[in-house]
Amino acid sequence: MRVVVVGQGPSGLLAADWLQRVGAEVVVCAASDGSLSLWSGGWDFRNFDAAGHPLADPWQWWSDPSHRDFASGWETGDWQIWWRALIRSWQAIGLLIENDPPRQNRWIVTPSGRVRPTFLPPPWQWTFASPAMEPAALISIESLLDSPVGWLKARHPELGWPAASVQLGRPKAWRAHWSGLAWAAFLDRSEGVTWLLGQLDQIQGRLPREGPIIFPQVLGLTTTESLIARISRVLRRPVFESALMPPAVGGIRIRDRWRRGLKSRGIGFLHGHVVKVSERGVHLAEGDRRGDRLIEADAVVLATGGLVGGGLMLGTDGALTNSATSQGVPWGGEVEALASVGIGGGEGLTRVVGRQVGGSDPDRAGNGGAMTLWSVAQAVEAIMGPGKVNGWLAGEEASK
Amino acid sequence: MPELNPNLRRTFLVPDGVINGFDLLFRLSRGIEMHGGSIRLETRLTAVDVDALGRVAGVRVESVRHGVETIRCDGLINAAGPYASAVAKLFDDPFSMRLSRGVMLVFADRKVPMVINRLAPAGDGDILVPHDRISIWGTTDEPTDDPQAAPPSLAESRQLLDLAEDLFPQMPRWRVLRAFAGVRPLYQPNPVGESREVTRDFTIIDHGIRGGPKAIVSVVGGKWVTYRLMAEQAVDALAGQLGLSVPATTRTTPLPTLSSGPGQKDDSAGNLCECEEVGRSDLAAWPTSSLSQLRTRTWFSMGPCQGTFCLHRVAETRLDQTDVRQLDHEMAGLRQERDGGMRAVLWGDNAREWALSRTIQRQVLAEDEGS
Repeated sequence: MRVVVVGQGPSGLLAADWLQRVGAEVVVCAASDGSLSLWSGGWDFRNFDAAGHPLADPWQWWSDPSHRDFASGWETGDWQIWWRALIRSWQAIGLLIENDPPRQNRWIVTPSGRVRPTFLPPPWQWTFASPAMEPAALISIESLLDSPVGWLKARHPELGWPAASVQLGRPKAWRAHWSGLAWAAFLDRSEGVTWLLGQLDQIQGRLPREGPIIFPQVLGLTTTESLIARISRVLRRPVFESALMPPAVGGIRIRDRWRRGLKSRGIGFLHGHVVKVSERGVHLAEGDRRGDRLIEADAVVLATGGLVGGGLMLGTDGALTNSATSQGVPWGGEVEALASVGIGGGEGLTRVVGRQVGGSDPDRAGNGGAMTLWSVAQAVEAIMGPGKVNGWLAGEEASK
Repeated sequence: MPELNPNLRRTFLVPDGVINGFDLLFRLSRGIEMHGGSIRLETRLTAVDVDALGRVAGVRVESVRHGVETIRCDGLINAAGPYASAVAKLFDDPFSMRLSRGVMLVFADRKVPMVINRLAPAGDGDILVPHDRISIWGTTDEPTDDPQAAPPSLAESRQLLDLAEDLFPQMPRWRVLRAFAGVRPLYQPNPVGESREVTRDFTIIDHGIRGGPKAIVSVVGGKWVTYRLMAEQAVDALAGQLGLSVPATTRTTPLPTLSSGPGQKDDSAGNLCECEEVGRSDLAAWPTSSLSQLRTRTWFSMGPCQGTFCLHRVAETRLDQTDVRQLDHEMAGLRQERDGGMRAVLWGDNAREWALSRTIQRQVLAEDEGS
């Protein structure tokens, strides 16, 4: 079975991963780098109820059959299996996370000092158990934007932030255009590590005695775990990161590792715009000539995203088009409906995956990760047959 | 000009120009302050006091910052634009205006080096104005009774876009930023005919002369290009009422320059707003401005991302002087204002940008939660 996956955001990479695990020959075609660079790396299950109130326990939400919207057939046990399968895929690319899916949502801080729930954070992410934040010491860096320190001081004065936040200076190599990404690349180099350890030496005495130390998310792109372990040894405290604005270093780490892992297992990556899907495969646009290169496939997975990802295009006349199939997508015409309209095109062995499969607004519900997980699971089972991923997972877990 | 329709048969060169409206406004306000005047923003006029002799004695105003206040005065100039007739009602000498709403589309690039007009009697969608790095395509003309312009709709934007086909056939593929609407304060004592036929000339109404309260002058109609002459004549009329005969000097008085301009920018710390290259030093030039005022003063949040990435950064610079709840309120207001303009031109890359902005506001910043 040869499968072409179109798109390399989280749903494309997950689909490619599982399809290959259960025996498919997989090729990924993508026009851009995918949406993982938008997110710091966490997966959401269900963050908010219908009224927009944050949820502590997404399992409880899903246990009510009237809450299952897009995933109507799934019981709690199904979610257990598929979250475990995602965790296994992540462990395989070196992310140090527990085997079991979390029992509750955790809470994270945004760059403007607000807190929100998330379900499955990457291991470097600073999280806490409830919206009442737990004490921590925050490190900021001069001229690095989007540290939440100023906002946290203003929003949570009771936590005594002025005493628990320390600013680092700038290295000689610093330039005004350095974003979090440039900082992370700097800290991957020995020059950067030396600078950082020197800074830590100077500030150690000013840090509070207890609680974790939180850095902005710049602790390396490729050396993160060892860098965090090293800082943690020096400071004798747990060390985590707080996410900044996109381009998100956390998501880029996962994207790069995942792609490298998939390539090492023989999955091919092709660059280009898919402009047509036919019974023979997908048609890649090349230069000015459109759709003249056929990539043959027995099945196709469309992981092209919605409006944000470019899988949907909105014309001046209000017509919505699936960019990969060039087919029109009917919608009501109400702007808010754009957030929950499906991208269309999921017939036969062409399956649509991702957070825009339709029927739910992931920005409002905070269920984009769940939509992705569910839709990829559905697609893999439809193409390769039911139970295959489960079999792979059981084998993996037995061998551990 | 590559964007013009290559099948045009004849073109004519006419002298025309573009005023950078905000720059001129800020120079004027800086000049007023330098000469001892003060400007009260976000302040509403609620009453005009007239004394027993029929002369203006003061005004009452209301603002969030200062509450209700009385300002004493010997003279009053009503230059309230489309609100001028509502102001005149407060001192019982009303006049009728002919308000007309116009919608314009903003594109992200400077598409033409000069103003381009259709050579035809004035109509909808017939002028493209390059404005610094952007281009503005206008406009519509719709009679209205409301001095506050209703937000532009997607239908109006599409209609404007359709009208561009003859002049700029590629316009549907240009990177659109947003649409906005304004109200023209046209003055016509005896309303007849279409509003495009109403004169763009201005009128000075000396209320003392026509039997209203003394020492009040209204100035209505006109265009930006005649603003100085309008002011001169309004002030001369008021000076006459007050028995003053000092000639106006604005004709020969240069306007002050703004402290933050090209060449004076300290960008060693990087920019907060990357689209429009606005840094901390640009913001520091306006220490007491609200976020909404900072937007027009520094141009932050005016580029392709419409503030998605920079609003919280700019707001954070105000945390030492503004309560965090007030800042959250101002941020929500600015988001809503930006969102309205983007929704009215929801197509192409702007639709994608709008969806990106929505997802970043909710997922990355959790702005909906108010936590």
